[in-house]
Amino acid sequence: MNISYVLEHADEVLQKVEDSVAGDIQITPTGSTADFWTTKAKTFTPMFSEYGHFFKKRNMFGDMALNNTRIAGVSLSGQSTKTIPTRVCYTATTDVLDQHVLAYIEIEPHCNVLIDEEFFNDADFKIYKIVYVVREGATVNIRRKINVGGSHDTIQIIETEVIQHPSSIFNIHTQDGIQDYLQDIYFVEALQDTVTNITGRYFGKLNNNIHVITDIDHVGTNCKSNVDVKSVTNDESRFTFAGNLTVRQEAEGADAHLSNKNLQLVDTVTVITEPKLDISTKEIACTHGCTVSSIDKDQLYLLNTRGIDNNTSQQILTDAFLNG
Amino acid sequence: MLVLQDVSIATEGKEILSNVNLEFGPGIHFIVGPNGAGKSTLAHAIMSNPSYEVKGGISFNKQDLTDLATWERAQLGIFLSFQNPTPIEGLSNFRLIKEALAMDSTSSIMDKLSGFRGLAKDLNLPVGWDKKELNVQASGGEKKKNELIQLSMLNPQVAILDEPDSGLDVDAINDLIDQLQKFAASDKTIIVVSHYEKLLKSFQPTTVTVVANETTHQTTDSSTVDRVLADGFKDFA
Repeated sequence: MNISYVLEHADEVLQKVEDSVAGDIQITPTGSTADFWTTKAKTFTPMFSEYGHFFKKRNMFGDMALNNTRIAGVSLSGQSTKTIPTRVCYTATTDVLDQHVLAYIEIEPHCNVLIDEEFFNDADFKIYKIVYVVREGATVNIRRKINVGGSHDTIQIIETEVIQHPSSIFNIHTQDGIQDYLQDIYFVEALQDTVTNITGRYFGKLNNNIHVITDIDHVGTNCKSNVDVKSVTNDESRFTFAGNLTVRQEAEGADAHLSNKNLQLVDTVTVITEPKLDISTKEIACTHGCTVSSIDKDQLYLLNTRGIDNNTSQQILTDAFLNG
Repeated sequence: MLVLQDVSIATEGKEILSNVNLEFGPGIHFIVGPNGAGKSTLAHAIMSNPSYEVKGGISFNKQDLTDLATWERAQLGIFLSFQNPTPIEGLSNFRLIKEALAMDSTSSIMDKLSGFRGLAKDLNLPVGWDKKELNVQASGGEKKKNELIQLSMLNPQVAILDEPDSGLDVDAINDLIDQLQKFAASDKTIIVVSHYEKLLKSFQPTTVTVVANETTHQTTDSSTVDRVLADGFKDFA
């Protein structure tokens, strides 16, 4: 099923929802729940009238999530969570037609938390607007896994908005499984003395469509950001990347780096990469680099000379590309 | 026995070597020749490097290699050490060995790792060498030592070493000579491409091949090495 079909037949699409899987925190279109043993996080239901302004309209597919005005709220705290992850599962709800999720996640000041995010393939079409508010001095490390469990060819549209208060650190590493259609989109507002690291590893096969956008807005002084996105594409898959870096006039001391490397295994794939820098001050360090390449013949030959066949060599080089 | 019979080698339509007739049995064999004569080309042609068009016959232990790909030749027991091995980011030194020995069930993965670390220590490579990325941010000498580890771990029947001495310091050259002497003592075939006098004078070669004038001249006369070192390659022009 492709996205145009779903959009044209939205009323007819039956959302077949599979059994939900519980984590420490479960986020669904109807809200958030925490398992009873979880003490490091609390769930709540923010009023849309009070919190709705966090969920900005972007004129993108993610705006469809605003059809839902019920916000799933989570507040994370405590130093003890920096090595023990809090598992946050995004699952479908059986009794709603549209799997539209609004999630508001707040990391309390000076906390250090580790989150394992899991997006389940348990419905046909899921749209998320997720807001992370990282308070002063807080650190959050997120390991995001897309395409977990379930057997659906789920269309996943994930829009993540990050508001980083002064001296906060936001690190996210996304690992995509094989996904029929994915939009993984990040908007970051870095206020002052912040550190932002976004790494993403995506693997497209068959006729998968994967679209990644990162948009980092350096608002205040001395903000550091690093975006490192890699894709491997095979068969007739399609990968697009748009990386925006904005450094405002007041954002002196910014240290911003943007990298997108793409490995295409065959010439029947489509890869488009587009960096965009909007720099309004001089006192900064800023780099960007985007590449699209094929398997390196010299590297393949080296592995062959060690007795490793072409298929295995290609697999090794693909892993190396994603890990390197 | 590795045999090349009436072999010619070309790249991008240009012939580099022709009328190549060579035999390499157990023992140490030297390949020498002026810069750009085609010594490395010859080594890569034996391994079926796709950059070269090779005509004629190449056989190993009487098996015709003509239709065999590089990895199949390597699995038969032919090893090529590179003059300047290419780096692969994201691939550790040990993972390469692990993958290359994937079919070898004679020892456990821990035994292989232990063997790897022992060789790295013997060659004075830094602790953690097994985890370091292959040929990435490594000096010329470290790359050569890493090739020696691969040679020892893979234990091939034939080792073709393309300038194994380049980038090595004095101690490392001595380690290299020790390794090659051990390897040669086990009835293996070592083919060394080199100009380095100390290395050439450390062995009594079974044959010496001079690559010059777009062809090869093989002899069992080991004094050829002394002649080349003294007078250069003018006699072969």
